[in-house]
Amino acid sequence: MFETMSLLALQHYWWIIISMLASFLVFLMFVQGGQTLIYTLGKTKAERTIIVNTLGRKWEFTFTTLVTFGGAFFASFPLFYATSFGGAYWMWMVILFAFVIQAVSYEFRTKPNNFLGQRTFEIFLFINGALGTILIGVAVSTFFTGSEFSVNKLNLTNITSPVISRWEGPAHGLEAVLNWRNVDLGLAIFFLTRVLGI
Amino acid sequence: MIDQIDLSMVDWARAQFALTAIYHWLFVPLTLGLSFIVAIMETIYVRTGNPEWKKITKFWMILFGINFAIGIATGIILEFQFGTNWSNYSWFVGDIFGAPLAIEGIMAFFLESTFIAIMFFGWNKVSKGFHLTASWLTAIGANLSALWILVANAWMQHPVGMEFNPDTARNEMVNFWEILFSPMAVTKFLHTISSGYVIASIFVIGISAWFLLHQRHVLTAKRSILVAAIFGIISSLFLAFTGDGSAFTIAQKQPMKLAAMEGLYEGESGAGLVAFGILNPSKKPGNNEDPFLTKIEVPQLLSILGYRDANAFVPGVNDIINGGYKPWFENIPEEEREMTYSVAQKIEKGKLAIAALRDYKTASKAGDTIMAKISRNQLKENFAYFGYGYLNKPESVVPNIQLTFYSFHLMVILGFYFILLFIVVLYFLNRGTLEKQRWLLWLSLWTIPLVYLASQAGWVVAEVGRQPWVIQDLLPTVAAISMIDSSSVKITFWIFAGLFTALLIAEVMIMVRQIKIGPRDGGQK
Repeated sequence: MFETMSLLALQHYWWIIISMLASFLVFLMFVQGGQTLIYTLGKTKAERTIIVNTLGRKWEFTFTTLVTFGGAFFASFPLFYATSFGGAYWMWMVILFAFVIQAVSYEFRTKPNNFLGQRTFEIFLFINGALGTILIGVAVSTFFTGSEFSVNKLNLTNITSPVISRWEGPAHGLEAVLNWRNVDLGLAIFFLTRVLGI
Repeated sequence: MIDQIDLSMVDWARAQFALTAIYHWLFVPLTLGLSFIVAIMETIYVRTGNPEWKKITKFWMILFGINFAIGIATGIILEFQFGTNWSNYSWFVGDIFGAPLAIEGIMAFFLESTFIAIMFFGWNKVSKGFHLTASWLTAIGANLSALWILVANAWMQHPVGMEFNPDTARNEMVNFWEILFSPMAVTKFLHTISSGYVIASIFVIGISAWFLLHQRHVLTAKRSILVAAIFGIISSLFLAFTGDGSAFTIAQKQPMKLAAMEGLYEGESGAGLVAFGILNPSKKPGNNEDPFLTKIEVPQLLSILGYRDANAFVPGVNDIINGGYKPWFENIPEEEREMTYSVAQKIEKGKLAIAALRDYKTASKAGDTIMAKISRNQLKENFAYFGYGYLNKPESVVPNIQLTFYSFHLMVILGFYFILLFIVVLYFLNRGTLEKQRWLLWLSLWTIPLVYLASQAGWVVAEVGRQPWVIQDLLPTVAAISMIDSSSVKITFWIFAGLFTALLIAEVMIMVRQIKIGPRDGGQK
């Protein structure tokens, strides 16, 4: 049934999938919210371990949802994918870093001889929880508040400079945090996940 | 605002991708193979009910888990790097490349991460049978993830099943099955996953050998070696078989890569395979130096491997640049084969295709349907050479021959050594004297770094050997990147390098400690 549909029609279906993934992601980000509470609620080492172990059984879901989210955008909205990731470079890079350090922290935190120490991995989890949620909120908010970029498919025919999408902001995405509206949604997501985390 | 493509940006973006991919490939192949080995061990446990096997299973499962996390961490960076550093590429092929990536996420990854939780935390919570199923599904899920990403990679090496749409200026998928079952995809998938199985087998044998050397956990170690050696010998034979299949497809689809792998500058009929050789560093395409300082050659073998015909003509680097030979293709008789163009001619055609795209766009905007139709046809005619239009000299199509040649030979020599190692280990295991062969145990332990080296070398052949192409003949690296300055990519390169190295050190330290702790009844977790 899908072979005969136009790209536009397919994108409608994809949009449903992506919306669902996005809402799952917001729900599942209670993991991140919980991570930011690691020092607030976890006064002792044992308490912190309980928090981490509870979240530890769910973190892969959040993570894979995020990965799938990226893959779905790549497949269905490549122009968005190309423009946003290549343009708002630093914004996405910071988000990525925040998630990479999360992936290992659960597995490595309590293992003996783990090189960086238990506390480092806890701080990694905290950074992921705080930075990850706020910046995802900011990034989503820019879809509404707008960003400065240009797309010109004819650039493909310019042999010395074939890149079709260009970001006009020199900060490559970081300028978004200067807009209070963007930060607003970021903080909203941050506190939402904390509430979910509790 | 920069307007010209910054060439150092291309290099840094490539370096960053290579760095991430190399780290990713340190962790992933072990996951691919070890998940199966663990599942086999657990099957034996469920069948026999012997708690010793449960202990063995749990021990290897802990090592699997440590490894798995970093595989994911580096994997997510790879996925998003397509967008951040290679935005033009993402646009150009998102329809085709993105689809397998999305399927990977939706299907395989979810399967894997759901069942992995059961695998680790479910020992006393679910029934034995259900737990075993979860272990097998984790293994299958991990391998399915690999399938999709390798299909995507194979497509870049040999683009099929798509059509360029000048209206949207991107490639669109027309036949999903053609992409999935392209010969390149099939051989690449089988060859790559079996290399993961061999890595995991040698990893298990090597660590078990260390236990035997220290007289610890002797029973666990011997049983692990038995499972791994049998799994390893089967995988490594299959690896050699699929390697042969890979050479056969590369010969037809990527002749330049084959020429680089063999350091072949002047093509010949009945070409020999270099078993061992040292390249002449001053040899360049077009000059008259001897390509080799010294070499040992097996006559006619390259023609047989590449074309299943002892007298087939194998084009060299210079032949491909100059064109004018008839390439060999499966199922096409000689009289129907066409002479190839020289690279200079291909560049001309590529420039024509790019110009036609521009004319088409301008004409359709102006409503000039006749002109639009003419340019569209011209684009279609020359699209096969589209990427050549971005190149400025014919020599740009030659990859780094030194690196490709040595990596290829290292990989092949080590591959045969692994087969031999499995046979010898099985022989002594069968005679019951394995513990006494201390030389063999040490050798097994020190083969662990070698198997990683061989596997990385394989990827170097695949990826360096296809330069300058991101997508064979359609898009070179210079045209694939994002419009960001190289300093940004440089900074993230060093951040990634530092972060991954720290994680690698952490992982190795944790693994070594877990191995020293050894298998316990309760396990560490």
